[in-house]
Amino acid sequence: MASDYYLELSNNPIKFEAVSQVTNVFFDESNKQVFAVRSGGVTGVVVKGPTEELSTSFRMEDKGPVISIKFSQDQRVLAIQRSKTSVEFLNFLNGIDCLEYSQSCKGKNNTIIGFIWTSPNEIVFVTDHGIELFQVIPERRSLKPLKNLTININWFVYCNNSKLLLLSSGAYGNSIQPLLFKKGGFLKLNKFEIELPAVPKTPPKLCLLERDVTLAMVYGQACVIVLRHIPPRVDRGPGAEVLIYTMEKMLTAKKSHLLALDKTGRFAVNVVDNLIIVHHQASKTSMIFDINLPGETDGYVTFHQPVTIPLPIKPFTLRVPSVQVSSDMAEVSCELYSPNWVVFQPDIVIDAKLGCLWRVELCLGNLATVLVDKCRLVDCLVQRVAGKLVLLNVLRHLLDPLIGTNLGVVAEVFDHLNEVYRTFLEIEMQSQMATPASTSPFSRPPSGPLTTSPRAAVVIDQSDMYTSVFVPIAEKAEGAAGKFVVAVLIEYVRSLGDNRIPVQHYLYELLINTMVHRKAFFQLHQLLQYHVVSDSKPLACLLLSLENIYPAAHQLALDMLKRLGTANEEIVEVLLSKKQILDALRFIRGNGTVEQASARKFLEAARNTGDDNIFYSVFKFFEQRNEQLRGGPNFTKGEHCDVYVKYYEEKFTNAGDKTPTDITPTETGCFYQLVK
Amino acid sequence: MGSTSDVSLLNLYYFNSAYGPREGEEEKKVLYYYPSQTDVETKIKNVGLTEAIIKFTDTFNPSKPCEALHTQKTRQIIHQAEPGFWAVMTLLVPTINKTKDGQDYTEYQNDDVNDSVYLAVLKQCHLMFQLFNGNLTCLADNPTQIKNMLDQFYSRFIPTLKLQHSDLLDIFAGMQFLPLDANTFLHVQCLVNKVEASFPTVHSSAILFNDQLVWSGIDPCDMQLIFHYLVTNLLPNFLETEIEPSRPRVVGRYVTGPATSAVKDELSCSSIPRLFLSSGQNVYLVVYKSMNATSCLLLDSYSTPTPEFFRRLDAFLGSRLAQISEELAASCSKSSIQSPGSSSLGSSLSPDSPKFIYYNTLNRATKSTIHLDGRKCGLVSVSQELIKLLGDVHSDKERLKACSEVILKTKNDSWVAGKFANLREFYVVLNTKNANLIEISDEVKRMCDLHLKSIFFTD
Repeated sequence: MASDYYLELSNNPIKFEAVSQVTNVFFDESNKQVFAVRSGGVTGVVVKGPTEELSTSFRMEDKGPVISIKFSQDQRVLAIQRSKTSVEFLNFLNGIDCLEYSQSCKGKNNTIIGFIWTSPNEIVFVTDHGIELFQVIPERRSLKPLKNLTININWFVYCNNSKLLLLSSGAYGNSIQPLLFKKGGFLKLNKFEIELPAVPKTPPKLCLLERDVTLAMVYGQACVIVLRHIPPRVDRGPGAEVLIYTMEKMLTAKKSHLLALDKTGRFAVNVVDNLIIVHHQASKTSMIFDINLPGETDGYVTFHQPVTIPLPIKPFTLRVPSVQVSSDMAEVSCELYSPNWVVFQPDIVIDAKLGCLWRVELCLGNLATVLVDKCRLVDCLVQRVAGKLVLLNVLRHLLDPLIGTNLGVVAEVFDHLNEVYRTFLEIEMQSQMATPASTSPFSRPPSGPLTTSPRAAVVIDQSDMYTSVFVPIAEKAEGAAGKFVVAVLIEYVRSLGDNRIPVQHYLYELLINTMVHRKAFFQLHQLLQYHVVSDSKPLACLLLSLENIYPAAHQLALDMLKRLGTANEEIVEVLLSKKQILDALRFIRGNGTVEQASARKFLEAARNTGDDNIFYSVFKFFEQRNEQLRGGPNFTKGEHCDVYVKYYEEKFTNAGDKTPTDITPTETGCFYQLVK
Repeated sequence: MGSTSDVSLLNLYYFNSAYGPREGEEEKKVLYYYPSQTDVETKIKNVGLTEAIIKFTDTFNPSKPCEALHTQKTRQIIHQAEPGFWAVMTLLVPTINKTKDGQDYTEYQNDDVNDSVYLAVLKQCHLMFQLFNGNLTCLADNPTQIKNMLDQFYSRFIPTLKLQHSDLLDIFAGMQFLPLDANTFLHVQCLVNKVEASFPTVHSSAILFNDQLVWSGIDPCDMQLIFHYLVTNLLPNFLETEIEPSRPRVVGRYVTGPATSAVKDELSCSSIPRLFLSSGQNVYLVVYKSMNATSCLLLDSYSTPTPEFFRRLDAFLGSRLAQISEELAASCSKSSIQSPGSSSLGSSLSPDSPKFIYYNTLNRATKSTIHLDGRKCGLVSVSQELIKLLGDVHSDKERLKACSEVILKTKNDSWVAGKFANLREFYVVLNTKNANLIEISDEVKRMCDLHLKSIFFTD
């Protein structure tokens, strides 16, 4: 089944020479480079990095077995550790410089545990008694000591993204000194202790090991991810857990999350797209955790269950030259979760025996099918870099009328999406206007929970919902499905409203059209009555067009035009088209636009009624207006009223001075007088 | 001035001439007669008279049957409820006993009885009957059943008629909508959608808050009747039982349907009222109340709702409806503070402030500051005389054009104005002493601006 996995290994692994008797392999986490050192470098060192520029090969003299080998970040200096007390350097300015230079650690009895390039020309030695920071000056082939710190060190962990170095000290190894590296020096951050599941009585021994501690950036914060192997206890089954300390403001570490693994054995941790991935070797499965998802909390620590069930990584097949026929390639499936696997941060898996380096990647589409709780799924996808398309697919599926998802779930999903949407708009607003948040129109509703969630990677706005979700589902809205679609649209509008996000007119149009399609006119009427739908001229026109199937739409349209306040001309047009000539006259009289009114339009409409009385009244009305306006009853040439003057004369003056019989002169006469 | 009597019901009967075409079979024509103790002779005589009048007037205007018969002491309202089936209501005209030159005599206030009002009442009676029993035409072969049904319905319905309080509002038979902000309305709407989606047997539903309609997905013709049934009959009666101190504290309760405590009881579930909708559909009416909010659900009748259904619905609706009720209450108090008209509404109890009745023909929305509630209890803020006058203004309106205005001044220096435009009606009662027509016209205009500012209402 396609959905039996949600993690896969990158398609094009970096291939390198496998570990053998003559070949040693090293990996530099900072530069993501694999070094295959053959016979101490004499027969060649092959460097493979993620790009062409970071890949190279060279030879060097064999001066003993290599312990560690790393390029500086600008690839200009190669550092090689071959002994416990010194590190050698080789310049790579223009090709390899054969002249090595060396630097020993300061303390006589100190042993170098490792070294790290912290900036292009700065290197730090971590020894068992402290750290020493040097500046490398390749031109002079020498190093200049910059700063050092004396502290007993068991082991260290470094993250190049955050420039954070964790030093383990103390008898149990759980006393952690974090250092933050800056150019030319480092900052000592507050020391902290990692909680141990069980402290041995006597004698003290190292309990917290390097392999159980991972340092990574998760949601923009440096996190110390600690694997804890809990010894079986009576009250609970055996099971390891992951404890996460977050570096708050890059100053203090705070215990913040606890991930339940409910398994024992060997684990390895990766971080992919801010998801924490825990591989479990024994069961050959991986679990994913999202520390941004809500979980049970005791006020300090949030407890997390895996986002979904543990599943293995997608099977990977490697194409290798076939043994039998040289031109053919044979497919070899790789052993997953092999004992030869070494996991590096953030997302790297290396099989040293196979000579392969992969990146772990997410298959969000499969995650979507595996994760049953749709709210959690949406919360999770919103934070994924490539989440948008998957999320839209999920929504389209979720809101498919044939699926008939529970509206409560739909409501919750919309609320989650729109909370993210609102936060996005708020940030955008602030950056544009540079105004304080309190004056923003998207001010947080008082009841809304204050979220501290990071800025989401994916924002699904109204136009996304409209084009990718609502329009496709509305097309399926036949029969009973229409009811569901209307409910979904109303739910969405409700959610936008609750988040104080102004609703775009196309959503209203879709809602109205769907309701019209279902003939739910009375419901539509109520929606308009309560001003759920914002007024606009296009909407008023849509309503006018509905008059034939729902007569009340005409009234609603007129009301809307009136409220707009800018549509007086349209109102006159509507009234004239309904042959409500006198109403139209009253209307222009009421809003004081008599002088600008087009006499021709009114006379034309009046003549079309076929009612002489009306024509007479309208004609007299405009004659009187002309009198007021220009001192004479005649129409100007520009008004193009000749034809109506003629009509008037034919009807009423030619056969003697006759007025329509049932119009009393006072009625028409007073009509205009009242205006003034 | 001596003693007075209000308008009252003399008799109400149904007949169908087709049931007794031959002489001697007259009794068979009478399908229902109130008061029931009337002797057969009188029944036959009265029915015969009505038949004769209908026949006689038919020669003059076959297109419109006779609607009312005026006599000095009575007023007879005639309504062909369904083809062949006639409903007739005879009223005693209100009287005043006066003394002149030492002689007592009775003056009949014929002008106080408005034909349109009572014709509307009679029509409403039959519509209500149809709502609960369906069309008579469908049962035409079974006069016995028709008789039973009419008897059963009217014996309960006539005591609730309140003819003396019938007025203009009976003509409209409109619904009071709750003024509400859009977001709260959407919350109500979303709850309704959730209920209907979770309980597919719910055919359609409506939500009321106190006596006002918030949302209705029910066809307006049916809704109008259900609304009046709820507001004037079901809910007030339920309120009385609710006040009982022995009542257990629960979130929501069924107004029709099982008592919450007795949901298990199969019998109580079968006593749910069945309604016949204008579309011909047959549904169950389940009314559920939580705090001040009432949910009115129409259930498809192809299966009788089970106790399990009622339990689930109770669990689903109880707290949600209570929450909506709180939200509605909050929204109402907020809008009454913000509304610019609040000062005039607040003082609407004083007899001299302007009052109005508004009616929109298209969505049957009414609003009245004259009537203090929608329950037809005679709680009104202006004199009966003025209310009757409003009915007359309405009757006059029929002769006017679509867009018109009428202003009247009464003997006691009160003013009554009616404005009609865009299929809406707006009636104003003003108690302004020594005012002239222009002042009154301006005041009416001011009230339009105040209360109808968001709608198109030409002046």
